[in-house]
Amino acid sequence: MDSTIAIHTDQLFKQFGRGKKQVKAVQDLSLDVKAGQVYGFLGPNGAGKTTTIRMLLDLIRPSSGAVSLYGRAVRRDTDVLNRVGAMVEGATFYPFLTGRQNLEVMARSGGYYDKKVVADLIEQVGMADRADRRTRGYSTGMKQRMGLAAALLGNPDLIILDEPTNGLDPAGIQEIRLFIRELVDKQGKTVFLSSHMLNEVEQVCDRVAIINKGELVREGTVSELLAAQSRLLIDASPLDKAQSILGDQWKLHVNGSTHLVAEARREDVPAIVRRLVEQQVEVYEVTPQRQTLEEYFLSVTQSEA
Amino acid sequence: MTQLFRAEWMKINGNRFVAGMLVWIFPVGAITFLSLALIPAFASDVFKAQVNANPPTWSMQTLLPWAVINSFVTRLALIGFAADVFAGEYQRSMWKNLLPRRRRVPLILMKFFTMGVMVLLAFFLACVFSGIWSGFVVRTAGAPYETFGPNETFGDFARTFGFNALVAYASVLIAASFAALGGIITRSILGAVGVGAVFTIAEQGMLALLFMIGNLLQIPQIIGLYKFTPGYNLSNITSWATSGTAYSLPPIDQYAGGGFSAETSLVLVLLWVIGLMALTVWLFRRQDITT
Repeated sequence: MDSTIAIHTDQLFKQFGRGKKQVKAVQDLSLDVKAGQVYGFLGPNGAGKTTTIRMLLDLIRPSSGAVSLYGRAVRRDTDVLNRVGAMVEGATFYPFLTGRQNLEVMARSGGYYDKKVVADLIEQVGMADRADRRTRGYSTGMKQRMGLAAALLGNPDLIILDEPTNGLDPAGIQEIRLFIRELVDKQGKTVFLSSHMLNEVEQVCDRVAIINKGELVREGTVSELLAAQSRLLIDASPLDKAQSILGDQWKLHVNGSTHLVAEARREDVPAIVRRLVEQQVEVYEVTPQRQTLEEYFLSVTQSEA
Repeated sequence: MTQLFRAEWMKINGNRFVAGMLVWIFPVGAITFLSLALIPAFASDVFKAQVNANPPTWSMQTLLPWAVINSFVTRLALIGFAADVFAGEYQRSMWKNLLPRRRRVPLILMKFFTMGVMVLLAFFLACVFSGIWSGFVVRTAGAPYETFGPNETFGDFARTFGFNALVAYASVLIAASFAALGGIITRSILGAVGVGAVFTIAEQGMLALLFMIGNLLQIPQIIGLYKFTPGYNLSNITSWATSGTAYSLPPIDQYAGGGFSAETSLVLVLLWVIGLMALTVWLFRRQDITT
């Protein structure tokens, strides 16, 4: 196994319950996450994202299949988890301890407590003035920030974040987004990010996997995924003639009475314009219509449903 | 391991309400009770006369708190404490933060160890306070407060003290194991208390149950099974240590050939402790952490 692969899952399968109550949470999931990138893990509610993350962290056992982190099988060699920091399904803390004490407990549990490191992390996530309050009174956003600090304890190479921006305000979301990018670009870490915030994923992730009903639906870089789905908005006259000229090569839809939508890439624009002009069709405008990740995600997950 | 111990201590002791009400209440209770005893020591002639007629020694009073630890009520309190220690991690969804940082076996074993240390420390403090405060009470009542009784040496005292601490530690571990099992199975503090209490009450009620079954089946010797329970063996060890005889229970003496030797009881208690802890660890190692 290549050690530059941070996460490798092979035919990962998890089933809960038996008989009629049987639920297949994750089915034959095979993923390779290279080190040194932000990897987005997307899926609707109940798609199996958190179950997958829990299997990565050895919190639950796969029914079959295997997980390796940095080339080491997690179930056989749990010490590899020392290279991982995680925040799973929201940040949780001992409510009767302060934020700082919670971080101390977690760091000591891992055997790597350092007072200065804890203080620095608290500073980095912007919680310096609230770290000595009991976490019982923390807002969701404050917990998320402190959870991020907890995930970074022990200076892990791989950071697994499950919905890290839940409960944060827009400024906080942007701050965390920049922070995640910095972890990868400046510190060389790998971030595996599960999120519903597709705009956030689109902006921060290098690669993305989409799962639905426990199965991997699509995987690739954001631009690859969206390029495959790009469209051109064509404003031309007469529209029916343009449709007959282009229809043999591109899939077309009529949009209103003046536009055609062609499922084509930006590179196809010159050829489209050339053909239309040669056939005496007036071309007013050809505009690439970039699909957002959100639109793509919805089209993929809904078509799979 | 020192860091893990400190982490566990911070968590357990940081929950001030639970630790205070179920553990530190013993030394605080000892001071409170003996402070209140100063009132009759000042004011009551009857009390003064009783103390003067049979003045206790420091060694007697120091050993007194150990008698409390193996009582039914104390065991229930310790079950509540253990339930919070073990099941609290599920209820507060904290395992997901801890398990990726350390292997499961040391994490769970450290809970047993830390709990045991904390309870022992609480009782040790209760013993110290009891020894000192009793002196104030006895002196206030005008009676002499000798260190040891006639023919008693420091060695005798230290042996008895150590032995009581050992029995108390075993008792704590057994109560903790019942609650830990309950916590791991039910994943809730209430569930852990329930399972722990049911086990403890069942153990206490087993004598009556076995007696009834023995009568019903006309096999009274069946009551001898009670001799294998942890509660009986802890009492038996204490009895051997304090009076030099086996723990006397009439039905056991009558139908089951009397009590075990101290060594046999010690082995049985050890087997219970190891068995229950091993079962807890085994279940925990196989468990999916889904919360």
